[in-house]
Amino acid sequence: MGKWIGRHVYALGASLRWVGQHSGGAFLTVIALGIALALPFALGMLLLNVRADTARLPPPLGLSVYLKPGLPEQKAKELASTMRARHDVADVTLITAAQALQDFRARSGLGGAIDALGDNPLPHVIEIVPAPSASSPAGLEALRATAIAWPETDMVQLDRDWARQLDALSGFLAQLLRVTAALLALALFAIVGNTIRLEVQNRRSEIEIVRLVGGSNAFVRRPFLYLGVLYGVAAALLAWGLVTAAAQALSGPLTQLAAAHGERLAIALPGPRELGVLFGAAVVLSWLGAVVATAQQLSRSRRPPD
Amino acid sequence: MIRFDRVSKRYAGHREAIAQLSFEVADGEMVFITGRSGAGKSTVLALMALLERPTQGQIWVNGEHLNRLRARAIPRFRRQIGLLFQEPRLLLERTVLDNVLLPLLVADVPARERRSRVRAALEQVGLSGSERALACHLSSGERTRLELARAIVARPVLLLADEPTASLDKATAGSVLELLHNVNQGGVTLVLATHDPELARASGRREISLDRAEAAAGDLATLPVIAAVR
Repeated sequence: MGKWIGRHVYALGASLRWVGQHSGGAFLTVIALGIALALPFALGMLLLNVRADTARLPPPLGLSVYLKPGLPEQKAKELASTMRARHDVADVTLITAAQALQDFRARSGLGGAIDALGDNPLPHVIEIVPAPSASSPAGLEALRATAIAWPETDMVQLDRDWARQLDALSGFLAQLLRVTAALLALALFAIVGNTIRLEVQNRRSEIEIVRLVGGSNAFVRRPFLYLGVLYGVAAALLAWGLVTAAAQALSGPLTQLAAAHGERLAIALPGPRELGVLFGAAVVLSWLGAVVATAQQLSRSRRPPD
Repeated sequence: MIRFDRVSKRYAGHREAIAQLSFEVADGEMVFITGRSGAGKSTVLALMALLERPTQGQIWVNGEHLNRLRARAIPRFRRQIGLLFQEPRLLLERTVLDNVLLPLLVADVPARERRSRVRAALEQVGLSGSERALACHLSSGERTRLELARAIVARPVLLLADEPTASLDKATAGSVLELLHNVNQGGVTLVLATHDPELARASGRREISLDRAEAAAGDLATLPVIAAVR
């Protein structure tokens, strides 16, 4: 056990010594690797935050009936009362065009532009919450069919529609993350592999001497593998720092934006699980790059004859 | 310790470096391998250290049948052998200490034992106190001594020296040879290749001379090499 530890301590020391002697080149390599890791990591954190925020929202239940623009307010009130009287409706809220415009003016801060429009382009909207007995897809569909049959109706939107859209967006982000992560993992593997390959070539004469005194292939290979691991760890640290800095920079403005819309949002920073995935992936990919590069290069170098 | 049995070596595209060479070296013996430039002296040492494999014939070194030794076993075999070259092969950007430590690291010698062995090896070659010096700052003679220290620190059973004094002045060469004699006195078998037969005669040790008979047709490859053993 002591010998095993001794071998690895020596190999790690040799790698650290190399990094110390070539700090400039190593630094540039770590920057390239760190950015390659930061991109999929940032996408992953974005996806996690989107899913967390949508999970906090109440389940989509109900429908919104958009009446035709220009309809008199009195007629809208009559329609709302008709709907309120149904046994399969729990609650009805009428948002008049004037109320909608006032709300929009307050949230958007575009008061001047809105005044310049002249007429109010917004319609009256009747928001319907179904009774528990009508909360099934069939019950919602029945309410939708009733509302769409009114000649005064412009369109009916079921709340689950936007939830479905949000799910689709989330799904797209997840796929984008997978594709980006795969491409950048390949980049990380190639960058580390190429760096190690060049280093093995540069130290060919040293490797020959190690072989002359009886150094095995494992003894020769070990410092290069540790070098790959060191690159992976350093790149993961940099990626973590970059994403955390970006999240903190965006957190304040996002909170303000959400507050302006009456919402409370905050960006979640990477937790232990996310960091575990980041460091694990970085170390494994870098180590693999080093394994392949050393295997190729050492097999090409002058070796004991078979 | 060493047995060559009708050993030949032909490099790809070249004439035979050695042909049908047979000799033996006993444990603890010091022998000189002599011959003109191109006679095959370095090839003989390379075959002993398994840096090359013979084209024909059988070789035994320290009980190991080299023809049958697999590639995986070669590092272990080489740890028994110390090597010296005309141009010392050192880690020039590393210190004297790092160079001498290397064989002990590859052999997994315990840390507490390494320092004392390095000190003893450096003392034996006259480089005590130079541990922190970079190898590239040493003179030719000092580099040869450093290579010798590295060769003996692992306590080899066999030391192979390929023209170690060829590029040294007379005085330095003499001191290096004296060091080699001392190592041999300690029981290490020593095979020293040199183009200078006078060196062998002056030492009074056995000489294995690689001679080639020149044919009128100039086709040396068809004629056997005669190994004259005095």
